[in-house]
Order: sequence, then C-alpha cells, then structure tokens
Amino acid sequence: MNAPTPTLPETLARAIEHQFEEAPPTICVIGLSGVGKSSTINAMFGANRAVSATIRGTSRFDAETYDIESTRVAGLQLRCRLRIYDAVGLGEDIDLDAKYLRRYKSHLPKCDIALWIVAARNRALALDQQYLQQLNRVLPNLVIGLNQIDLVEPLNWVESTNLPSREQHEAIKVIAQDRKMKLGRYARQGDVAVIPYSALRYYNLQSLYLECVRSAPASRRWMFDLIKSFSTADWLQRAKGLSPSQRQSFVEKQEPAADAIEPAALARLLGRP
Amino acid sequence: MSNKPEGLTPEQLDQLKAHWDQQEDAREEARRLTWPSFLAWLRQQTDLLTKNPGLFEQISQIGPALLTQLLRLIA
Repeated sequence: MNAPTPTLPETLARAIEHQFEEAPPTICVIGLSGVGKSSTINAMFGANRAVSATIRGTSRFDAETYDIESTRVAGLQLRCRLRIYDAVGLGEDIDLDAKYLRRYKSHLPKCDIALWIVAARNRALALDQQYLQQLNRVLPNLVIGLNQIDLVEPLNWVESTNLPSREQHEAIKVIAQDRKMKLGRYARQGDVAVIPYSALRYYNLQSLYLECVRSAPASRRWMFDLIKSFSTADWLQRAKGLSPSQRQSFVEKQEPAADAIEPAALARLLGRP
Repeated sequence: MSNKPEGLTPEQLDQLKAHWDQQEDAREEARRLTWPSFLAWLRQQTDLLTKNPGLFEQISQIGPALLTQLLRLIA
C-alpha cells in the first residue's frame, strides 16, 4: 500500500526541519565565569527544556546541539535545532588561554552570532578587553549583553514591578555607556550595541533578542524566530505587586491584536475558497 | 485592618506599561526582520515551489505577518 502523499503544509514543515538539520542557527556565547551565559540562552530559547546531544571534543570549546520542539507554534510538532558554542575556559588559567584563543579563532567564523556577556557589576574589564582585542577579526556580528542589572547598586530592584529602581536606572545608563566605550570599540563592526538585561527576571530580553536578530546573517534570521521561547508576558509575570485583576486587565489591554492573518490570505494559502 | 488597596499604584502601572510598550516594539521590529528572511529562504526552495506553483505568491501576499502565525497554518 502506498504511503499517503504529504500535504503542502507537511511538505513545507519538512523543508523547514531539513534546513534546521543541515545548518542549525549557531550562537557562540562568550563571557567570563558566572556572568549568566547558560541562563541567558535558556531564557531566550528554552534550551534547558530540550533534549541535548553533546559533541564534546578534547578541547574545552564545546558545541552543543539542542533539539528544540518549537514552543511558539501551537499544535504543530516542528523539530528545530540550535547549536551553541559555549566558550568556556577563558580567564580560568592564563597558561591555557593561548590554546583557547586558537580554538576560538577556528570556531567563531562558523557562528551566526557572537553573544559576549558581561556582568553589570563587574568593573574589571581588562580580561574582556584583551580577549576582544585578540578575537575581533574573527568575531561574527557581535552583540554585547550586560546581564544581572538587577544586582546593580544600590541593590534595590523593585520586586513589585520587576523594574530597576530610579537609582539603578541611572546607574545602568552610566554602566552601559561605559561598557560601550571600553568594550564596543574592539568590535569589528564599529558601533556595537550594549544591551542591559536580566536573564533571571526576563527584563529587557526582547531588546537583547532584537539585537541578536539584527546581528544574524539576513538569510538566517527567520530560524531564530522559530526557536524563540519567551514573550513580554514572561517579564510581567515576575512583577510581584500586580493584583490578579490588574494582571488580567493589563494583559488583555496590552496584548497585541495585529498578529492575525487576513482570513482571505489564509484561505488562499490553504487552497480553500 | 488595612484599607490599602491591593496591587500597584497608577504610577507604577504607568511604569509597567511604558516598559511593556518598549518591549513589544522590540518584538515587532524583530518580526519585521524575520519575515523577509523567511521569504528569501523560501524562494530558494526550488523543488517545493516547482511542485506547488503559486505557493510563494500566496505566502508573500500575507505580508509581514508573523512567521509563527504562518506556521500555525501548517499545523
């Protein structure tokens, strides 16, 4: 008995999956120990919920390929992939740095995005500057993320609104400007954005994601959209002071209505009258 | 017993709304960038397009709607 002929939607879905298998979107995450590399990737792409297959070589430069079932597509089992180069090791042992840097230089050109993460409270930037200086010729499309801004002095993040306090807000502006001057100048593309955010609190994550999309090669941006796994509501959910009725009315009022496709276009696509 | 109303003050709600709007603008901007990227990829799928004439036109006519919405269609 012949297998049923795949429908057009199925064929399109398989073509998309094939693209993810052949050349998954690839991010190199760079940053000194403890800056929140994993939590950032987990928040943006839900990689912690994925089944992972690790390609662990003899180096400390590991590529992990995550199979991600797109959570953004209701009712559809679309198998996507994300490859992460987690550039561990830098700054841990100065004797090994030269070896790590050689490996970085060989792997970085394979990546769509280099996401360089620094912790907002860390003022010692010499190591980051040194590595950026040595890697800037091979860095693809650099994005600098300023993580953990909830820990900026005077440490009075407003839990009720999940927003920085007025004092923190001012301090964050100064820090971002400072990091842009001290780190951004080493970027190959010149004017590199420094995005303050908190992965833990989902604060400003859309801005970081937008910068990643802007920095990705134009032909591959759509792939990141499919594996994105957070929404603005994830940030709002962490605003502890909202009463249930405020939360409900806020989301109802603010939920964008512009996502709908015209019924006529939908019908055309499905081949229905 | 406290008469303090539950929830955030109007000023705090305004702060929340301002950040929400800024984040939603960023989300929309990211989507505007991904749509043409998807169409460019689709244009390269010659087998798919040859076997399904009109597919590209149909999808591109949807305009800069969301890629995720498009994919809901194939659910």
